[in-house]
Amino acid sequence: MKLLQRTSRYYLAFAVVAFLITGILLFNVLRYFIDEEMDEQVADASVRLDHYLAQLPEVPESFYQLDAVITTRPVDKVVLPFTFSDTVFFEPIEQEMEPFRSVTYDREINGQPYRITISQLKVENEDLIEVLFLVSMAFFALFLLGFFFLNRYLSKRIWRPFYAALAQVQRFDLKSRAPTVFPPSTTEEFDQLSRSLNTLTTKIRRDYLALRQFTDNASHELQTPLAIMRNQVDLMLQTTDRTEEDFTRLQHFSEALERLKKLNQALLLLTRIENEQYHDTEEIELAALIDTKLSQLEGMRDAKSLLLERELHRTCVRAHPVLMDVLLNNLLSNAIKHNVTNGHLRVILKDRQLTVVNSGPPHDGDTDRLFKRFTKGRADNQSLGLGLAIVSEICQHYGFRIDYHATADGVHSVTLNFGGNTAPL
Amino acid sequence: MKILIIEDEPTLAESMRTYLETEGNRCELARDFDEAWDKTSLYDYDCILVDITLPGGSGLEIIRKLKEDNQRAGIIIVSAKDSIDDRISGLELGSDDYLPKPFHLAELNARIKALVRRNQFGGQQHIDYREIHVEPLQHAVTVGQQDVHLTRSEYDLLIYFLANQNRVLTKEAVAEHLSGDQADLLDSIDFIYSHIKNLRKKLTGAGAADYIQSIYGLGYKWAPA
Repeated sequence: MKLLQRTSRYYLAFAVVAFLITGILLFNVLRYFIDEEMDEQVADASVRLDHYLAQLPEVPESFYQLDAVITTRPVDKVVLPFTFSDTVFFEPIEQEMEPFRSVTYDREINGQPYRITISQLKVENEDLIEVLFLVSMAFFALFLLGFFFLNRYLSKRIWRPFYAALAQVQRFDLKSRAPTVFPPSTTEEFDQLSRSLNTLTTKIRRDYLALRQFTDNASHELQTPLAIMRNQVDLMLQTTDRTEEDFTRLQHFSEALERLKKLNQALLLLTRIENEQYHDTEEIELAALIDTKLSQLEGMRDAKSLLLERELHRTCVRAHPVLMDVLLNNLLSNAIKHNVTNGHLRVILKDRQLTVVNSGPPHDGDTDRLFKRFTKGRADNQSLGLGLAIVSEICQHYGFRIDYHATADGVHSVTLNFGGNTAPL
Repeated sequence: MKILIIEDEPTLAESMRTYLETEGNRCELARDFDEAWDKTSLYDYDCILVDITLPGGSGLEIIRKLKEDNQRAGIIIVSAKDSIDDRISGLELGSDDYLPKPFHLAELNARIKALVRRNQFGGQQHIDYREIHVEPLQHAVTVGQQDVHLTRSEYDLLIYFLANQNRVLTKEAVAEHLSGDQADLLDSIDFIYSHIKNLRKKLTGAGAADYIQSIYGLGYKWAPA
């Protein structure tokens, strides 16, 4: 829920409650005072009525005086003080029942006690209350509404720097060359936010660059000692008077060295992609490149007696030749490596889409993690789990879409969609 | 053969020299740019191994000079940088091959031999090992009078073995030679086993002796039985 929606919601709830309470209160207060006023008027009228009745030769039983109906009834003695009540009478002019306010009291007129009731038509008062109430409420509603919209407008205006900063954070890309700058604001809180974000992103960027630099340097510097170790092993192997144990140890050493070398090579490649060291692009014809790759990997393929099917249509992409080479190499060697003996390998290149389908043991891991670094299909295999991570990194670099799909009976397919091939400039 | 090794890392230069000299080559070392410059100016070599990053200058400079001087030496760039730009500019300048560090000495040896064969004999020089005869240009192999038909991998393997006779070659080195540097094949390195088996079968089937020895689980060695 948006901030404005949230505040508006509370605001609206408050307005409804306030409106109801004010309405009820206003209505009752109005009614109370107007009734009070009316009672007073009626009471005042009674004094004049007493005088008037005393002057008459005979007290009439019932008569009209302006909009008041007066009834009299002789009683035994004066007991009832002023008693107010609401009644309803038939109004002959309007031809309907109308509300009246009555006061009843006992009074001695010319020595004879009477019970006198003065009933006054309330219609006009009711109308008055209604009009007063409605007008007040209308003003109140208008006020609330105005306040609501003003608040909305101000919120939008005041929060603008916040939304701008938010959009910038969303667009924030660690790898982009241009640093993100959050503009200062005249609102103190937002200015603080901007400054904090500036500090934060600068620090993150600096750390990231330092880390990248470090990986690059470290991988680089590792090459020479690796070369020395490898060559020393090569030389040690040439001495003939070695025991089997020596050879076993040398073998372990050599294997470990190989892993280290591959790891370093892969990390170096990843760092270079991230460092945009492969920014040059050229038109590359994939069908021919795939053919070359497949014959390069013929050795591995033959060892598993794989049935190869290929359907390659001319397809060009703009990319760096080395990256495309690595991409196809990893994709294809992966499909061969994780294949089964006498399995099949199908490579289809058409409609700007490359699909590599291969048989293999079912993949039991999480398929989404397949393209993450150091993810291995099976725990027992020795691979580094970097091959597909590199593929994924290259795809991301060139905006290719990659999908992996596996069926339960062990058919794996990786689809690369080159799309419009939005290669970076 | 006379080989110049331009390499600033002494241990590395020494191990290259040791391996290549047991092959009957004469090797000289140059530790920095100036020494390399002087030696290439004064002497002729059959093959020059050049490291790109040298104290005092770039190996690419030396390659440029060698080409301007019309030196007949074959040039192999041996670089830790493994930078694409270096590889491309090196090859453009006229170097014959590029070998990224770390490499196997057997690989270096095989590359040097192939290069010299190409450079000096137009690839015409054939390789003979006892009853086995190889015509590199035609990729043709005969044992005695009998033709042996090898797949590309098997042929590559044979040439690699013949270049590194009496050497223990690790499975890793063989696999890397067959599949290239980039292939991530740590867990499937045993694929070379079937190639070796097939090669051995084809050669012995044509009447050759079995020269491929397994060295425990470590690798293989081409040597007279």
